[in-house]
Amino acid sequence: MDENQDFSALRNLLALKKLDAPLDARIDQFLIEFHRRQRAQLLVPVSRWSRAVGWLREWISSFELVPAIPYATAFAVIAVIAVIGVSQRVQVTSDDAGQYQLSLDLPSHQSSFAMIPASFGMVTTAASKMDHLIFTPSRSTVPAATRFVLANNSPSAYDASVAF
Amino acid sequence: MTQAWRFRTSGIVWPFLFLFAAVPAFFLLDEFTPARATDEFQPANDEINALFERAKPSVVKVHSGDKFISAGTGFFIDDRGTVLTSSNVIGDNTNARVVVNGVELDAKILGNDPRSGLAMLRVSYDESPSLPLGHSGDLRTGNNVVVVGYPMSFPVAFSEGQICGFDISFIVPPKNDGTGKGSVATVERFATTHIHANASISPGQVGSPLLNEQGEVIGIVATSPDSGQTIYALPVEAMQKIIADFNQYGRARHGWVGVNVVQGPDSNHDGRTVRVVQAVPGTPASKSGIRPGDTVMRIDEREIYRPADVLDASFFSHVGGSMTVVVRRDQDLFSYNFPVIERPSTPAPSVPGAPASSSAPLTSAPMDPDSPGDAEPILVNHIVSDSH
Repeated sequence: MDENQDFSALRNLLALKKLDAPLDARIDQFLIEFHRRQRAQLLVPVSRWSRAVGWLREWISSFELVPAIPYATAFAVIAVIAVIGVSQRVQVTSDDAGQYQLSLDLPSHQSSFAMIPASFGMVTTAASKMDHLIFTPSRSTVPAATRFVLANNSPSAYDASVAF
Repeated sequence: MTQAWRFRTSGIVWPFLFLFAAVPAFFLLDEFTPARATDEFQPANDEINALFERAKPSVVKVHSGDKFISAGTGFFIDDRGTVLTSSNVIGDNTNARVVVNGVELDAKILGNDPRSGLAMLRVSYDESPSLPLGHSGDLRTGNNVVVVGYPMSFPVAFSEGQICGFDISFIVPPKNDGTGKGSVATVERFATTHIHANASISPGQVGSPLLNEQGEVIGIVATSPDSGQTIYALPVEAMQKIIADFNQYGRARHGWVGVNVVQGPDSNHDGRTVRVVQAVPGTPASKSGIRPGDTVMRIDEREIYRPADVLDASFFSHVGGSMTVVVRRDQDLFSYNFPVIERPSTPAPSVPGAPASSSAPLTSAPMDPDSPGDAEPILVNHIVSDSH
């Protein structure tokens, strides 16, 4: 007889495994425990936030959107809000010397951006050449740009020659 | 037969052993505990904090201009609302405001002098808390100094440093003009010697008082050419001279006699390096006979070694007074007495090699070249010029 056709060992093993089957009491206990936990889960109060999130997910899934569309929509909303916000804070002023002042008014130091300079601007000449960076205040009551003095740039402060 | 020796201690020994180990341990722990370091620095911290709290009410924000506002710091020097600040904060503007306790008050400009870098304002503020004025003459390199001022739009701030030196010239770093080529560093010169300190400041703190450890004003911050890393401050004595001019004339009156000088070689190996280049026409010096090449030895009581000494002597001269100048020509000393006139706002540039004067030289007599310095009075019977 072919050795591969001898299933006696397997039959013996299955006969032994038949004795390993759980008792009926164990299966009944499992069902009791399962139903107990199921009832307990139903009795846990669901928060309004969880219900709102669940309702929102169901509502969005009802549209059956392509996955790329929500991301594109989110970026578009952020871009629109940023453009509107920045456009409300940009100030362009000019002086008699033909210099144009472009200032971006950011949140003041009274906000959470305490360590960030209140706002900043760039002075550009008519040739649009960057000369230096100057700081402007965040106070909306001060419409003009403010130069916080650090160095004495007045040419009249220094003598061309040593004389007495 | 060997037997292990055992040290048997009686009960009375244990307390002594404990003390023997505990006392050194206590001192070691006390030496290395961080609390000890805090205790040592606490008096200094309290002192610095008290100095800052005393000075804070006297320090104010200064704004000038309408369209483009220039903002800096100032401080009260009396109880009548007089504020000192930097002339660079005022610039060419004709109006100024002072922010006191959050209230912006219109200020009257009592004086604005770009050459000294000082401006004086007055606001209607009775019993203004003023800072006491000290002395800068006894300051030495390494002394602690304090700056109290308003950085940008932030609240009043404190910075501390040490005196690096006393300089009349400073290096302006090259500026980036946007062309990519850059520029070269330049050397600028103050009108008089300034205090150089390594206290760092931010934009808006020019015009702040420079205080000593007693909280007295020893100078006013004039500029920071290295983006706030170090400062140059006009000394308090120079401030007082300009304040007196502001009070009396409404402007600063800088005196001079009209002599252009340069720094030359120390040919006599005595440290005297200031050479006369030109006597400016139309000035008292032009009529005196002082010549190009003369070595300036003394101006009034001040010994002259470097160009800075000349500028200091000139800065503290008073218009309408007189100035005695001793020069060396060859090996002879000549003394000249000049009337001090007001220095023009834009002095004539130095012309190397230009003749001193075409006027006939006055009679002169040589002085003793070995005459001592300021220990002995100058021989005055050989005054050669009095150009009144």
